[in-house]
Amino acid sequence: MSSLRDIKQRIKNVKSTEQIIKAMDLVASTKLQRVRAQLEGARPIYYELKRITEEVGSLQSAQSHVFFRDQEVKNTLYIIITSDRGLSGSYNANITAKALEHMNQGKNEMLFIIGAKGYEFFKKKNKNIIRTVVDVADAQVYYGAERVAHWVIDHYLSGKVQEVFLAYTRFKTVLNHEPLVERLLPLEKNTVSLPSGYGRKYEPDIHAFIDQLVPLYLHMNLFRAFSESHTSEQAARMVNMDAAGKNATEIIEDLTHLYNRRRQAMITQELSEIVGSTNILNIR
Amino acid sequence: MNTFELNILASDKPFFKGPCESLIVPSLDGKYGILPHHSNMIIAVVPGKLVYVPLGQPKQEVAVSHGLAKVENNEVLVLVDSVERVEDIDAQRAIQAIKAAREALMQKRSIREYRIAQDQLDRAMNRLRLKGKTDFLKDRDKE
Repeated sequence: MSSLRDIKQRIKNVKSTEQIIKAMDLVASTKLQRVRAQLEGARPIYYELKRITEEVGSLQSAQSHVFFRDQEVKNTLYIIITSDRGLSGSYNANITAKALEHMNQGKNEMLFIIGAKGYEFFKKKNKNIIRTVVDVADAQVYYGAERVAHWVIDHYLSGKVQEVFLAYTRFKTVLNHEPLVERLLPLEKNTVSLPSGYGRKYEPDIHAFIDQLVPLYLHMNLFRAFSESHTSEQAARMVNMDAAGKNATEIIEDLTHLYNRRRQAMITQELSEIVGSTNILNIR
Repeated sequence: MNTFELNILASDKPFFKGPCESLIVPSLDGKYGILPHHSNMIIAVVPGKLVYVPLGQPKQEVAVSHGLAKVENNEVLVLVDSVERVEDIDAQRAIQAIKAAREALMQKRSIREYRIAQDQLDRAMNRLRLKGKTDFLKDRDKE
């Protein structure tokens, strides 16, 4: 049985933890607002680029281009976006599980991990990690994404990999984010049916246009995926910290009740002892 | 007045949306002018000066980087990495960027790094040119 002092100490401990939780909650919610604004800014251009890429992919003349052509797959590159820090509930577990589920198809996998948590996870699984990026500053995400896009294109064009997948967490609402694995390269073909008499001109010509389009598309896609993941991470953290804060308040309440009851019991006991002894004294 | 609907999207934000009288985009083959009722097409955009004339307003000049422009049924969509108004360009920063990029180009590195440095140089020079501070560029040519 714990003494009064122990209970008091525990209440104190939980209270200080609660303070930390509340601070983290606050930090996560302000960060969430910022990254969400960034995400909302990046989405329109991404969707337009995606539509144009799909239209181009549905053209007969574009399908011989190296970015669209299917090849025999020997090596597959996975780009997996996780977070650097924990305390975000099941956020990292969800995305790593989703990526792992997508792998293991007998192909030779190469992993490019973003975020320390994903690195730890896949290292334990003995996966072939060829590159890791940790501790990305928020301000560098944009140019970071460009560098990654160039790196991916280099690997793809030099024939080191024949397929590239991207695993990220899509942000839907604060409470709803979905881990996803999407194929980056080769680009999808024949996804939209073009209207008959589709007579759009490509300048300078279709292949030169694709050479310009694809780096931009990959860059924007990666940048958006980073933003989506980052936003989801902050949202997950905020929700979790909120829940943790509620739990802490509950524990404090329970402990305070326990403490008060204990104290009351002690006073009652002391009183009855005093009354008992006076009774004995009075009888004499 | 004949107009077309222009929509400029940068990577971080929608930049402009509204009726326009004319538009000039920098392309691989030079400047490309677009007027209302242009035929449908898609064109690759390279770093340079983009000029557009919003309906009933003076012409606007902005610095753009890589991207593309799509014309479809009298609607023009411009998708680019970055768009900057001339007054937002930081000349000092552009000069720094030029110096850094030139430094990077001098060193023997991989083709990829060379290309990235070249891109950075292009973008920075374009900014400076729009700002009208070509003195810096000229000075170097004399050296």
